[in-house]
Parts: sequence; C-alpha cells; structure tokens
Amino acid sequence: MVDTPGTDAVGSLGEHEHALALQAAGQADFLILVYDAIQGIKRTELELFHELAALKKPFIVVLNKIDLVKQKDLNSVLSQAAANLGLELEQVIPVAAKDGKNLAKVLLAIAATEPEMVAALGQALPEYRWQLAWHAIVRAASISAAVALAPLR
Amino acid sequence: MSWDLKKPDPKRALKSALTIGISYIIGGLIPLAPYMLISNAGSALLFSVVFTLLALLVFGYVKGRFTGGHPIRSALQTALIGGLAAAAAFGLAKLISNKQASMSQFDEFLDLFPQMCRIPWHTVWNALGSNEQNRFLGLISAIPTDAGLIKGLIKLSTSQVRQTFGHKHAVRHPGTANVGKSTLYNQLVRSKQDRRGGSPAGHHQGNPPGDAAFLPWWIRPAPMRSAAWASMSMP
Repeated sequence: MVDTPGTDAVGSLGEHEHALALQAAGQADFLILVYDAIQGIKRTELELFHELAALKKPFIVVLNKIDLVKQKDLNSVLSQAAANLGLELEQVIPVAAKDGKNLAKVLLAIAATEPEMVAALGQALPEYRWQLAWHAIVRAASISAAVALAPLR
Repeated sequence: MSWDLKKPDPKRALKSALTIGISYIIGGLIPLAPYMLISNAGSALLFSVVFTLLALLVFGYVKGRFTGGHPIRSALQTALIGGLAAAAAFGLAKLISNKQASMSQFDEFLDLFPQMCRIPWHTVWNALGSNEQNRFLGLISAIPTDAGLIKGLIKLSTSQVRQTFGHKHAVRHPGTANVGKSTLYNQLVRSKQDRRGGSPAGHHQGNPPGDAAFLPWWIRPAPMRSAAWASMSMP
C-alpha cells in the first residue's frame, strides 16, 4: 500500500504532485479512489475520476469523513456522490477513516472486486486477516455449492 | 505434541494444495464409485449411501482415536453429520433438477454458442458416425440448459482461481488534497513504524511514485527499508 500526494494543489509543486499521483496510480494493481463527503464531487474530483478510470485499473470509490455528515443527510450525500460519478449507490463506500468506521468494508470490497489481491491484503494487514479469510471461505463455499447444485441430469 | 498454531510456510502452499486437492478427489470417489461400476442408477445410489456411511464411520472412528476422544461416539457423530449434509445436498439437487428441462438435441446445444462457432461444429458433427453422435448427445444431456448458468459458474470458478493463485499486491489511493488519504492509510496499516504523516497543506514530498516507502515493513524487501525510513521524514 502506497500513500500518494493530493492531486489538486496549484502551482508547479501541485502539477508535479498530480503527475506523481497519476504515475503511481498507473503502476498500481488496484486503486482506492478517496473523496471527501463534505467537499462532495465537484469538477476537480470528477476530472480526477475520469483520469483514473482511463487507466483501466480495478478500483473502488471511498467517500471519507462521513462522521462529519449528519445522519439524516447521509443517504442523499452518498446518492449525490454516486450520481455525479456515474456509479451505483452501492459502489460508493462511506467511510470515517478518522475513527476507522467501515474500513473492513473497504477491504472486503477490494477482495470482491479484485480477488487476486486477497492473499497480499491478508499478508500485509493482519488486523483484517480473519475478515478476509472469512470472506475467502464463504466465497469458496458458495462457489462449491453453486457448482454442486447446478442441475445436472 | 504441540497444538500451537504455527505461521504457515509459504513454500508449502503447492504441497498443501495438492494434499487437499487429492484428498478431496479420493474422498469424492467413495460415493461416486458405485455409479461408475453399476449401470442401474437406483442400485448405485443404495451402494453409494452404504459406502459413504461406512467411510464416515471409519473416518470418525480413526479421528476419535487420534484426537483422544471416544472412538465410537466420534464415528457415530461423523456419520450422522456427514449423512445429514449429503442428504441435504441430494435433496436440493433433486429439487432443482426436477424443474430443469433436458437438453437432448444437438441444435439446442449449439444455441449455447455464438453464431460463428456453429458452422464448424456442424461440420464436425456431420463427420461423426451415429454411435458417436448418440454418445455425445448422452453427454450433453447432462449439461445445464441455461447458458447463463454455465457462464456464471465459469465466472465464479475463475474468480476462485484468481483468488488462489493471484499475486497482485500494489494498492494506491489517489484523491484530491485533504480528503483523508493519509488517515485512511494509517488506519489500515495500523503499525506505528509504517505510519504516514501528512503535511498541513496535504503535500507529500520526497517520495518517488510507486516506491516502497510506505509498504508495510513486513512485506518490504530489506534493501528498501533504509531508503523507506529516509523518505519518511516529512517536510
């Protein structure tokens, strides 16, 4: 896992960081696109989304700082973000990174989107290993059950 | 004898996979063997049930002896649980297969494939003798008639293979400044030595893209560790 610089700073340093972030994303096997629930998806965020989507890498979208959103507004904030990005609601994962809320969902979403990451995630993030292992077991069992129950005559 | 869980040795992955795979095949052959040896499916089912129960009793007995439990009780428990599981699987499969139409014609089989595949298939089909054609029809009659189901199963199985043998590992989490990328990173990584500090302006300097600077130390190759520490110093 590699931290990347912000992509929207102004000036030569900003341009340099934007290029670095895109270059790093281009070398990745998987992207977690992070957005701010308060800031929302505006033009800059949308441009970044299209730039990253053009890389054709598997990705998930995380909407961070949901702890700062009022509970009654949460659904509309999520729906708006998903609509602006042209995604389904369930494709946007609400997260409060500050207190760790929904981080397991992030990892499980990665595992579901890109199964080839599961072993590396389990190896690198021991805190979430049992959840990933459980996900792998349930997935394997479901597939075995689906194959076994396929109606053969 | 030690009962502590030990860290698995990655070098044993292939050996473990083969052991489990071969054991699974051998275990699966016990209930299937009667169907291979007896032509009458009803009689084969009876033998299959008896063989399976016997195998479960033997396995349970051996398990009980090796784990220090009561062998007879272990044998009965294993046979009961295994028998119930097999009965449930049989019942469900029967329930579904009763609702499924059979696919007995070659043209129905061809409908599963794209148009461009059908002409060569027809050429091959016409070149076959009637015996081979009948055998093939018998074979394809066991295939599910729903192409979507086949595709779904293939997709699921492929996903399982990818999960088992996949070796992708590089994750990046790009975003605009101050959206909490470093906080997210720190929460996921947890260990203090790999934690990332963010600058007030959200700028991150001194880290070449795609470097190993923030790879967790336990997966970072040794020569990179010192470089990583050097690049961790934030402005």
